[in-house]
Amino acid sequence: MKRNHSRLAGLLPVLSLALFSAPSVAQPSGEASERDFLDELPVVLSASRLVQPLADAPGAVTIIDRDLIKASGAREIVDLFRLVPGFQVGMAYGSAPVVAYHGLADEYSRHMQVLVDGRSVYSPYFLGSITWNNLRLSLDDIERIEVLRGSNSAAYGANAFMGVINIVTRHPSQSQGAYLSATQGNQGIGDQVLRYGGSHGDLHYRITAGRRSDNGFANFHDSRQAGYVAFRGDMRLTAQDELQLQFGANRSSAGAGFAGNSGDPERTLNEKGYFAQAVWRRSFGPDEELMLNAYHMEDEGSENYMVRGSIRNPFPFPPTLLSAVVDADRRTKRTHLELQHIFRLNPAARVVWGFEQRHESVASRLMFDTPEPQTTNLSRLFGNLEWRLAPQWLLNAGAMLEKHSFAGTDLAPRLMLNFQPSPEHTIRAGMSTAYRNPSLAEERAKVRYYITAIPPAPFPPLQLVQTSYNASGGLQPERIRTGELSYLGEFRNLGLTADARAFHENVSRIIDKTGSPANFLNRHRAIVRGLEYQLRWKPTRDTLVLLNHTRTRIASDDDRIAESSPQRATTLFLSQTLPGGWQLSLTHHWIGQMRWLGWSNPLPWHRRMDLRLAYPFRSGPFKGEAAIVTQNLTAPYSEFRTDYIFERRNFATLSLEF
Amino acid sequence: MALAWPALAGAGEVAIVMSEDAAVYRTVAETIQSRLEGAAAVDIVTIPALRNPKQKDLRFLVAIGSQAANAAVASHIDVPLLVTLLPRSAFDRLAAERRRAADPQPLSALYLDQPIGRQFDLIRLAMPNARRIGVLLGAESDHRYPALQKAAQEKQMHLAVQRVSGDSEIAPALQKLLPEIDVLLALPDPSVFNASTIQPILLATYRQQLPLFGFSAAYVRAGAIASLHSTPVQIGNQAADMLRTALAKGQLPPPRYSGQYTLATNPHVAHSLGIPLEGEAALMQRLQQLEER
Repeated sequence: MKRNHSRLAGLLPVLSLALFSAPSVAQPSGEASERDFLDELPVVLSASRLVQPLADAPGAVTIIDRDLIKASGAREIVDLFRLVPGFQVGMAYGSAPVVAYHGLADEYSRHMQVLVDGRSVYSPYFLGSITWNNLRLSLDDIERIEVLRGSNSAAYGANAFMGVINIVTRHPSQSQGAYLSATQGNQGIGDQVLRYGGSHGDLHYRITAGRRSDNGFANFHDSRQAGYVAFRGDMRLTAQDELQLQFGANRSSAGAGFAGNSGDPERTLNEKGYFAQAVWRRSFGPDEELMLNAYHMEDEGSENYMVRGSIRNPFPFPPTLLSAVVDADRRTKRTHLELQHIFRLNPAARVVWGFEQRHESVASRLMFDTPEPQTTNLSRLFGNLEWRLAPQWLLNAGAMLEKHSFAGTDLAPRLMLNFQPSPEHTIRAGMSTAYRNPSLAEERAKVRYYITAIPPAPFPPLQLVQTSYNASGGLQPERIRTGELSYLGEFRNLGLTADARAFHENVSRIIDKTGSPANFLNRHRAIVRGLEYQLRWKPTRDTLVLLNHTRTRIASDDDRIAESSPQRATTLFLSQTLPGGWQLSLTHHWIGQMRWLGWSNPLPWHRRMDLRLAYPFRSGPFKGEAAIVTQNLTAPYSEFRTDYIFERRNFATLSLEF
Repeated sequence: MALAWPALAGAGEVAIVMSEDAAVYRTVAETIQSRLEGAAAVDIVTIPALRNPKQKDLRFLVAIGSQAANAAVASHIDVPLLVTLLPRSAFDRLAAERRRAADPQPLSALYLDQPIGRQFDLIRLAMPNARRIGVLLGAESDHRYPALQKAAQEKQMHLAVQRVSGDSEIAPALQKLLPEIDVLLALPDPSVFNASTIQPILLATYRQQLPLFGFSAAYVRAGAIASLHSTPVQIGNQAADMLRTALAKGQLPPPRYSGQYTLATNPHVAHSLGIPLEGEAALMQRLQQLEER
């Protein structure tokens, strides 16, 4: 039996050491004997690895699998959410992508929980957001993305306010060997990925290194470069126990500021960070599992710059010159420990329960006017009961009790009843309450600029303090009460899946800033109502059609919030394998007028068409693919602000596997 | 307890040799012993006992497991030998060696694995729409190809085969095979299916939403949708039946598969794959009815 020994394994002394001390469950190969029948095997499809059928899911779920990721022509993860009904995707200030579901989002999209292999990538810095550029993840390492549309705090805690994006990466045993990919395109697009996957005894691992860069929008100082390295190793300890280790680090930079604006000068934001994660799973069979998940991550950004201004003085005096050093350096840390137990109560009922403990800290002199780190502690207890009341009726009842160090204690319950009169049809009805805890900045921001003023002679220089944010604190968590009715049709013989969701989302205590100096208050309310549906039709192995349509109405005391989601959006996606193995895919979006909150303005309705043509090939031990992608074949449109013009982007990718 | 096993110097007409003194071998041996109670005196021994000279009343030797089978053949104790609790491929190899050596000792077997046709029947009953069965063949299973082809023809199924020689070939072979099939059937071949390859194989089939049919209870626990296998007690019962015939007629019946078998299913995996799988009892009943016809 040939094994892939790798030089990389030598770089992992800790793992190797663990290997030698761990008993091997592998049996020696050779002639077939009764041992093949009698020996134990590892539990591979464990309770947490088994994907819940869509008909049993407590809500509407969109699954983005590897085939769709590839066929979509996505260059970065956020591109994929354009294919999910009800989602808005944009590229905000400094080439920072933003993703929202049903609007209510500014440049810091903070209403969604994003998990990568159970690790929250929500950044506690500033108002809190997902730093999509720093995910330390290659698209090709993703096995699938499950998007839970709608509030799911009962299972994922606050931040899973409007929905959850669950990114599951591939098991290293599924990406063995070497993989190279290079992308080159206009607007400075240049991406490279290098991966090696190997095995060593009962350890399967992969290590991926990648770089991404582009110039951002024309006429803006927002080009970005990101480099990352990611390791995942899965080791079988016994037939029941599995240990997964992940490490990742990144270094990135992005342009910020504006040419000719001395109050917001052109500068470069440099960021770097790392994470380490260990997940231990013990499977007692396909319906009982104990999981311990621990991770730590640290990120820091350095953004130190000088702003200048002036005040006019009466003639004939020259103006008073103002300057201030802005120290926007920051450092965030998160440590998380989680225990989860899945078990079957009886043949009709399954329980998932567990608890989490999290510690977060943010140090930012700009944000808090002190170099001292600001900390948050979070404790959670969660449970969900999946109870088949009758063959056609499934009840999902769950709740999360969350104790937050300054937002207090909340209980987020969820109840969903699935009725499946026949295997093709499922009707779901449910309600939930969820919360979003205020971020550290919303609770404690104290932004003070220490300005040096140089008046005309003979007056001496002065020191001034200008306070631009002064948070009073005492915020309540934002709250959402959701009622939904949804339908799932799975017509296997036609290859058709239809998913429709009618929703009524009552959002209250929306936190917004007001006044000068700005303070954060629970100010607004919004009622988001609408209907969205997705049709997925795969008539043959060679054809895939997706049709998404969303109708959303937001009623709010704040006009901007009312406009924060397009009233209508439609996406059509077609993918076809052509004779000779060529693959063609086409995406067309029609997005109604909307506006992002925060530093944005109303955007007119737009269309966008993407095209991908790929040719997979195989030559000896090499397997590869050449692809060309054009994003936005139609007229330029505005992405986040009217002046952020998304022009046609073309890029070509060559990938090789061996 | 091992001390209690007598040497081959007992007084029995049947001697059972176990590959080792482990629970599974003991279960088979004791089942045979109890089923033959009143019909024949049975001694249970381990391999070292074969070194002793033959007992004069001994009429049949039974070997449980591959090691015991090899040791029994090598012992040259010239009474008819029944080997059991070993896969057919191991028996075929043993029989071929014996033919080459022109050894006249009568030899028969009760196989541990299930006949291919029975497994195809199960697949058809469990998944009426599945027509394309995929198998990975390695060094230890390649010789089963004609039997697989024949069974596929008889059961009107389509057989898709990929040959692999080594772990590194499994992933590319699956990549070619999985898009062409409805189910993957695992065969007892440690060069393809073993404790370290089962993970990538199951993950790959699962990703393609395809079920794996295994050949032991461990496969079902690991994530196979179903498996047919014979338990040690069932093997013991069937071996005892063969020995009863042999004691009456003075010669061993020809090699055969166990008529008693167990079905294990993994309803969680079936549910997750969206396969409406019947309960074990109902499916087993239908399979037995089909076999009886």
